[in-house]
Amino acid sequence: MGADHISDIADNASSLLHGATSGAQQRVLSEYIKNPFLDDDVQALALRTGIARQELAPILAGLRDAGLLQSAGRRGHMLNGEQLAAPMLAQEVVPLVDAGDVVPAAPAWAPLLEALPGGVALLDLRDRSVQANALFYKLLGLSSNAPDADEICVRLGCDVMSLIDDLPLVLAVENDLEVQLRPCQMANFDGIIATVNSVDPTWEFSKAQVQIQEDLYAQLRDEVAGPADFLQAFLEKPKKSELGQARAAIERINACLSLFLLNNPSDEDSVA
Amino acid sequence: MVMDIRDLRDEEAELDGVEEAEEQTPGLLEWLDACATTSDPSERARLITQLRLCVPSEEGLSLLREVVASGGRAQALLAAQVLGHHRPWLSTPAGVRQQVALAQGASDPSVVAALVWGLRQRDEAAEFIVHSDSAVAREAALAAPVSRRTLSPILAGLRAGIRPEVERILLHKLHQIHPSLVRYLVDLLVEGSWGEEALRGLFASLPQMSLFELFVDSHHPASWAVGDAEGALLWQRMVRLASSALVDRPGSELLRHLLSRSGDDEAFARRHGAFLRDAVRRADVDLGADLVGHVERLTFGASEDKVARLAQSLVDLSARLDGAAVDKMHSLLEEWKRRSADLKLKIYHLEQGIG
Repeated sequence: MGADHISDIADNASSLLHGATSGAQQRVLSEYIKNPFLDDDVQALALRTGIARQELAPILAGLRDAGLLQSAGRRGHMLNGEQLAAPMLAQEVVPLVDAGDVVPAAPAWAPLLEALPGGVALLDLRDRSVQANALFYKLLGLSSNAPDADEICVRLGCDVMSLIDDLPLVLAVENDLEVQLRPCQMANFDGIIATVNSVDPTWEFSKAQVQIQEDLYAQLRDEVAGPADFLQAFLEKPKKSELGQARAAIERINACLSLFLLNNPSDEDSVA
Repeated sequence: MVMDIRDLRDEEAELDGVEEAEEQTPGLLEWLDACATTSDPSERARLITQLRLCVPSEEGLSLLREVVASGGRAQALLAAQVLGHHRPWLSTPAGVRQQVALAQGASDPSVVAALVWGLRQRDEAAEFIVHSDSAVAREAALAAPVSRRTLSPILAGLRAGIRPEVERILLHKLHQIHPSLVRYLVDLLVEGSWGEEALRGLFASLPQMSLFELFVDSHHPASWAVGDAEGALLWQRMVRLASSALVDRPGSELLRHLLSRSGDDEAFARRHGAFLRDAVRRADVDLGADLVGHVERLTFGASEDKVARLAQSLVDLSARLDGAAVDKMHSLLEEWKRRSADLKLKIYHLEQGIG
């Protein structure tokens, strides 16, 4: 990616932040702009930018809130390309076919679409016409009076029609909405079938649970498993010189247990 | 936007067979070309998202490598970044070797840096720490893990006088080195000539507990320092610098260890009394309250001898305390004074500086 391209994206990013970018935010963002595929977690980013972890957390939160960064899973962050593109897409989308030439979609599928339990739309590749049920428009917050492929493209943040060669794919539109796009050919229809689903909140709960579990395991590994290994080695071959470390290991384990209220209240006294 | 189409692609591939996979390959190149050449930021952002989403097959990886090796600058950089983002090649030694060879052969530093980024958390990244280009060296420092295999190139970089930014990254990584590697690291130090400041900076970054045990508390110098005058001299220099680095900025863990051991072990307290006093007097002011609390816990139900030994440290610590910690220290000393007349006198003498 050339320097001019980088500066274009940087300009766009800065405008998204409404000129409120701090030096630190720009420093973080510049790393992502240099390498749009970067997916560092907070620790790696802190090392990369030289910004302390505790200072970096609110900076990242600000960039996430501004839509410039998004989660890359496992605590990582990556550039939100869709968000960077979306405002310009909204301004620049030019209908490939003149609005006057759009042939209204044949209503043949309407009864079937309305009978379906989820939000479904048929996007015809030939004339960019759209047939969708009311739930599709409702879930995406679109007006159902004027079904328009361009309106859907703007809403989804990408030109869906141009993605035909890359289908099937899933777009996560918001935290709780996802749109599945699949090629579809049936009867007189040749195009894309889009189904919009409200993501089950249990999925979010599962995700949070996995995160908590990972954090817990990481903490137990550092604060319990490591010291316990040391204690085991110490007990197998006790050295007077390591007595202090053994005591420190027990203190670490106890501190971790008391963090989760798992130790007896009297334990601390006995250790002391 | 999160799009994971791998499962869906698998389903599709099963349905459509090999032809479909073959059709995807030109898409990758087209995306790369379009992304590198388009002047429309929104189009570029969309293409980057596409490149993130596609999971290249073995054939796709070969194509990416070809673009890195012979494509235009912008295409090569993008291909290198895609190779670093999708890393199925990591699963085979040949894949890693190819990535290293690409990085060694690439002429554009930004492309080399991107390829080295792809080697993150791999030992192979360490060889680029001493690269002449600062961006490559920085990426290598960020990418290299600290292991037995990477310690030598890391130390070579530090010894060679790398840029401050790269040095900062490496020293930060060494701060988190596993204690079991510290002895090995010290053994490696004998391989090159180290300036006083470089060595001091290195020791200031290493885990303090390991340094203390190795240089201050241990009676056993490294094997290379035994029976060799030059080695013994170097060892003594290291001991002096390590002690100085520890005393200059003692951390909480080291101070707590010193206090605990001094309380438990009279011989240890005698041996390291001066070291402990120096360390306590230079303790970070923010640690003061924590250390008073630690001493309080250590002396709960403890013998008078132990209390007397720790009282010395507490009095030394008084200069590094402020706010509520001072009150807590005074109340603790008063509590100890009430234990016996002998202890009261000892503490009084310590407070007057005649202990």
